[in-house]
Amino acid sequence: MSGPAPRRAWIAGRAVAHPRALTAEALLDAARAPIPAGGGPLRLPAPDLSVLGERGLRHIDRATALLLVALEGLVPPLLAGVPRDRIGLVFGTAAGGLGSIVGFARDAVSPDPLASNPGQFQGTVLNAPLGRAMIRHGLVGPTATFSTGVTAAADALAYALDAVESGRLDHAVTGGFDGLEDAAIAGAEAAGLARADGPPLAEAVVGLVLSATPSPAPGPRIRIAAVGTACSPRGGPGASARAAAWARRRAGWGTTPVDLAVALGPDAAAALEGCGPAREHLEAGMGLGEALGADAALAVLVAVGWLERRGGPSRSVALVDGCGLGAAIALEIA
Amino acid sequence: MSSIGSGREPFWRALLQGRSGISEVAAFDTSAFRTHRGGEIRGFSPLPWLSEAEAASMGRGGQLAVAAAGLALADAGLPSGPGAEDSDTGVCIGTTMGEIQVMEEAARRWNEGGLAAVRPEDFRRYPSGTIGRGIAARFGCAGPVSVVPTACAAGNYAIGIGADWIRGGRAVRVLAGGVDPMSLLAFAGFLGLRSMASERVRPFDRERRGMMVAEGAGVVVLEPLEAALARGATPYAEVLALGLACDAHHMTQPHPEGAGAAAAMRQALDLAACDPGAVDHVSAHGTGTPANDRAESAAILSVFGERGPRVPVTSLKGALGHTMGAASALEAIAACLTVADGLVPPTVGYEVPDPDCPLDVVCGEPRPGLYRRVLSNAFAFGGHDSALLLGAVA
Repeated sequence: MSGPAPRRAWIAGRAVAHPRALTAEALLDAARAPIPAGGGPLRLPAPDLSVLGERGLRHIDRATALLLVALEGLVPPLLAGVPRDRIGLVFGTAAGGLGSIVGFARDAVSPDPLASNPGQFQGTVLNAPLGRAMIRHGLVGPTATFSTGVTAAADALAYALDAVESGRLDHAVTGGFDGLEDAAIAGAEAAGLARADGPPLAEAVVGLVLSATPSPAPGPRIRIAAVGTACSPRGGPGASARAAAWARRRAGWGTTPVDLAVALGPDAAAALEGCGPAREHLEAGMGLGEALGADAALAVLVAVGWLERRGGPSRSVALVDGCGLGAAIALEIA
Repeated sequence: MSSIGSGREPFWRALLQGRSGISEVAAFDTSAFRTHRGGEIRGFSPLPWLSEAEAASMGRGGQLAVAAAGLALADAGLPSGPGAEDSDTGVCIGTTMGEIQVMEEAARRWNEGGLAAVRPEDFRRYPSGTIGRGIAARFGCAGPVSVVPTACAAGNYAIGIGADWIRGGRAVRVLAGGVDPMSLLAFAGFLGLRSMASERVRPFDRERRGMMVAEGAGVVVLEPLEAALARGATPYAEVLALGLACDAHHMTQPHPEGAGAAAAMRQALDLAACDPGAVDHVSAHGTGTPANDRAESAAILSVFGERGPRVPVTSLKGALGHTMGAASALEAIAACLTVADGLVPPTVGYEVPDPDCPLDVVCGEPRPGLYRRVLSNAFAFGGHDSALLLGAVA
């Protein structure tokens, strides 16, 4: 006698804001069309705050604004008929609302720290952007922020996957975001994430709705089968290879070749070398840039675009490798 | 790693003795403020755990976290020296502001000479991810590494997520906890919000005036029970469940009736299939601000019903101040020791009962008893509410 079917996590919605693409399909095309090395950072136009109305917009920084605008297309459609404790927001970010953090820090260390605006203090915690979003949409379920550098969004996806599969959430809106404030650009350059011969820095927001039931919309039904992450304690590339091996095992794929392996991050080439058998490799960094905490979610969305275009049963692994961290996300159309 | 002692035994002994780690702040100049006290770790040196070069590559948050992880490994009877890579061991660390002292130094330089005056090493040391990677590098952890910046609930998050990793097969062993160094930014921010006391913290007391900024780091070693027993270790407690909820009310103020706090506690109990009547003790968030303690009291009474006023409650923040991202990790450690040793530490600063907080607040002396199920609460900016349910080892 068999028990109930295990819960799965289907990609039931998505949103992307990237300087070169606003859809998964366009993201795939951009990933395949490298831009010249050494260019300046890829930035989005100023977010259109008018879509947010006037509520809760005081002291808002660029990264938070980008996230809130992206969520406007994802969260409200989920609210009909679903209790608000069954929808969670789970995102990765390398720097959070860095503009708020830097702004308040500069006031706090000035000769007159009492002149700092207490209203800006709330933005200095890295979970502030999601806190604002939860309040904005009246969501009262679990929420979590991860800030592990280039694998931050993979951490978020792993948590969201577990929350949906375990039944703690019906819908997890998950992904990654980072804005390119001046300090973020300087910081990424100092950390070696913006090499003259490498991908440009890029700001991006990627949101994915992971749901316990697939979207009723026509088209392929794509699920996330597993998320693995790992670390190279001594730095250097290669952590994603162990993450990929774990994700393959968890997905039950063994050593069967996947149809596409797509990689982002400073050590994307190493990720593709170590990810196991794949029929096609796509190193997406020169097309999409280095998007910091959004990297893993961008890689997933490129894979989604590829799987949808291909159609039929197929598998992909989305990889990130860099700064001693690695992640692998296994996706499939069953 | 705390202002009242570092390492399990000194920390626990100080808590049971009701000692306070609040003193005049030495980390920065407080002359512009009306408050000058906080909870600092005096005389800390990272050199037992890190080389000078390694220490220089980190901020104080990373250094404290490495030290706490080393102490935890040693306490667990595991190697705490630099070791070979271990792909079975993961790191999950929570924080509120990460390497905020690095940011403060960078901000000073920026104010004086513009962005170009900020040193590259400050940019390299600031990102929160460096804290998790620092622990992994020091102890050879090659499994999953995550940093969870969920503010003052971050330690609970990290421990709960670490336990999920073990249950889900992502890691065999996890170093989980939280950290935050002393912060001028937090000092100025909480003063601006009028949330800080001037002399001492008095959780749940009628005369409470607010919280105090502090620093600390707390790390636990999580393992499957069989693995711990197989190597001859004596586990302190079991992580039963982490309940999470959101107030969706205000970025810095709790829901007045503690709606999210109660939801988090109920979720933890539901996930563990634990009746509220089986909970023997609540380790409260208990910041000592009028609004937080009132809301948390309402939440506890809501969850435990008629029994609510009789459940022993304690808050460590009278002793430690508010160690931000470390707070719930340190509180989880104390809760584990309560389960293991049968003692609830007293709430330092609690003297006058508040009719708005009609709880059984443990004060004066440690309270002996059999504590088989303990809820440890932690609430954060953004309305992030958490409750970690710990239990005696079956």
